[in-house]
Amino acid sequence: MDNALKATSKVEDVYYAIAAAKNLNFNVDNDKAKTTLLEALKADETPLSQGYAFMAGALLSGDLKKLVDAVEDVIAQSDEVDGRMRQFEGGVASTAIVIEGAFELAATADKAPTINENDLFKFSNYFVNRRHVNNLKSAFYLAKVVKTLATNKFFVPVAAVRITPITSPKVQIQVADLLGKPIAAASLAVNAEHAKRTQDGATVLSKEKFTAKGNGIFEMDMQQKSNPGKGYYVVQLSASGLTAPYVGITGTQIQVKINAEIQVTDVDISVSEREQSSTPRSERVPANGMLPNVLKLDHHQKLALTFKVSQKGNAAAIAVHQAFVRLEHGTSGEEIIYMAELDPSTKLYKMDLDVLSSGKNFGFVSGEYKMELIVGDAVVENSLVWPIARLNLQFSEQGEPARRFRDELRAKPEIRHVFRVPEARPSKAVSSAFTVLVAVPLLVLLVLWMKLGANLGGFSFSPATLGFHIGLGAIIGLLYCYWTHLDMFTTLRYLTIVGIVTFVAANRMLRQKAAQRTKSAKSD
Amino acid sequence: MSTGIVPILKKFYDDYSKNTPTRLKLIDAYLFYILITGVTQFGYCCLVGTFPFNSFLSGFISCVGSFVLAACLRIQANPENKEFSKISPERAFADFIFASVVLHLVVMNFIG
Repeated sequence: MDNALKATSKVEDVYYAIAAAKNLNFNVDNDKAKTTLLEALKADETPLSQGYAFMAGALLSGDLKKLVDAVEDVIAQSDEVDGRMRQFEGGVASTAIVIEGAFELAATADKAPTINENDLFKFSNYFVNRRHVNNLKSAFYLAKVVKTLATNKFFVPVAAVRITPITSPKVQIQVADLLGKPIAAASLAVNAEHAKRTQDGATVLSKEKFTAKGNGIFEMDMQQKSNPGKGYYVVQLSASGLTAPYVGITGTQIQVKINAEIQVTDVDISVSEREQSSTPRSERVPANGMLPNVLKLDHHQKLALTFKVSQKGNAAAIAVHQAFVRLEHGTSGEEIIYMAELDPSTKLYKMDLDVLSSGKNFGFVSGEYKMELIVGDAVVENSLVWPIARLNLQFSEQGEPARRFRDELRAKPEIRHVFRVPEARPSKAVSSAFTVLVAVPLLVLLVLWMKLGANLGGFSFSPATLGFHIGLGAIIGLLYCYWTHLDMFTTLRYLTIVGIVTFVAANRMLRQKAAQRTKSAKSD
Repeated sequence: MSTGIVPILKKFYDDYSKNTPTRLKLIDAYLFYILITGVTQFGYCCLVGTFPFNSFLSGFISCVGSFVLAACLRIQANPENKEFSKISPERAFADFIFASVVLHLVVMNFIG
């Protein structure tokens, strides 16, 4: 171990040496250890080495000022992520080692580590965020640092977490440290600084107290306190009576969503002539039902629809995210959806359908349509689809319902493969007749030749002549074999052989013939 | 015209019989044979259609090619042709045989 305390060692090794020595109760020369540590640090000043140095320093005694002061500088080298977390390059293990080292050093030097509270929260967020670590070393150091952060005597970060579901108006939060242990300090009180509606920023609550329920749980009933109506809310917390070493809670924001039930009432439909400007008589759709009669409209007429959306138990008209009118064609299932607009003066939703001008949208498909109201919202519990009437629309032109997209996805008609029909061949009789017909001229030729007096008189039986004739016959036979079963290469091979023989024979024979001819010519 | 077509043909035929050497007449007979074979083949094709086209082509080309080669032989063997007097009839015949062999090889290849 003394060897490890050489000046050229790495900080990590120096730490292991000192820790091992301490564990084995060896005497460690504090000053020598310190100087070695500082020298090793000079060589390698990365945050990780500093972390090891802090942990090593925590095991030594004496003047640790240099190391303690270094903590602040090292923290400044960390990186902020997303505005919520802080970490060192190198990930979980490095960050954990540095923080662990800082706290261990603080414990030994009995002086709070020079870490800003906000930075500490950000480091804690980082640790919680990375709780699913992959490797063993990171897991070890992460567990170590979390325990230290929960049990040290200087700073213990605590958090207030909503434990009720987001839609519960009775909001319960629990205050706990990093290890999840609830803080049950009697003097602790949690307050809601304010609660604001996200949609319009209106403040619905201000400076309300949470009731302590024991075991670190605090409750507040938003509905009871202020009846804020439906919407998304953000509650900002603050804590009082949070004794040292606990730090946290103040500035935390909790999200709460308050739902409502709606009712759609006063659904009025009226059919009138296009040219008519006076308000026509309207029919009211019975609650949860449909108009009993089918409304007939042709291109001279128009339809007007109004309805009111309100919260149950409250007659005031409200606005919702979705207020649509859907028209579905009875036979083809094609649909068209219109948006109902909120009339700012009457606060009622209205929709107008002019048959003549909207024909294009319908593709001029006349027929019976089902009309439905679709009303919904994110904070509404009973969003609804309500069929309110049947319409029979007759457009000025006639259109075909378009091919539905689903038709494209159905199985197509089966294709029956038809093999190529072989071309018509003539009957056997015809082709046989013509084969004979083609052979007949040969007879004609032989007859002609005989008539002309062709004879084999000049035929000499010399080997050359014989060879020539046999060779020629062989070539013809070879060609026939080629036609029936040979391929070009073998044919060419045989042809070369036979051809050479025939050529030589022919050469000789013709030479003899020529000699004969010149002899007889000379003698003439 | 004072002389009709028939007397002309008759005169031509007489002249041909008398003045053409027998050798050339033999070749002429061969040419005639090739001709009617080719015509028969063509007539058959017109009658029953061109399928299989390659067979028809090879047969027809065989006729045409043989006709051409025989015609060449006739030209070269004709003693009245002064331009070809250097080529002996035997040489012409040998050329004819060689070319015919090549032609028939190609025809056999193409006949399918």
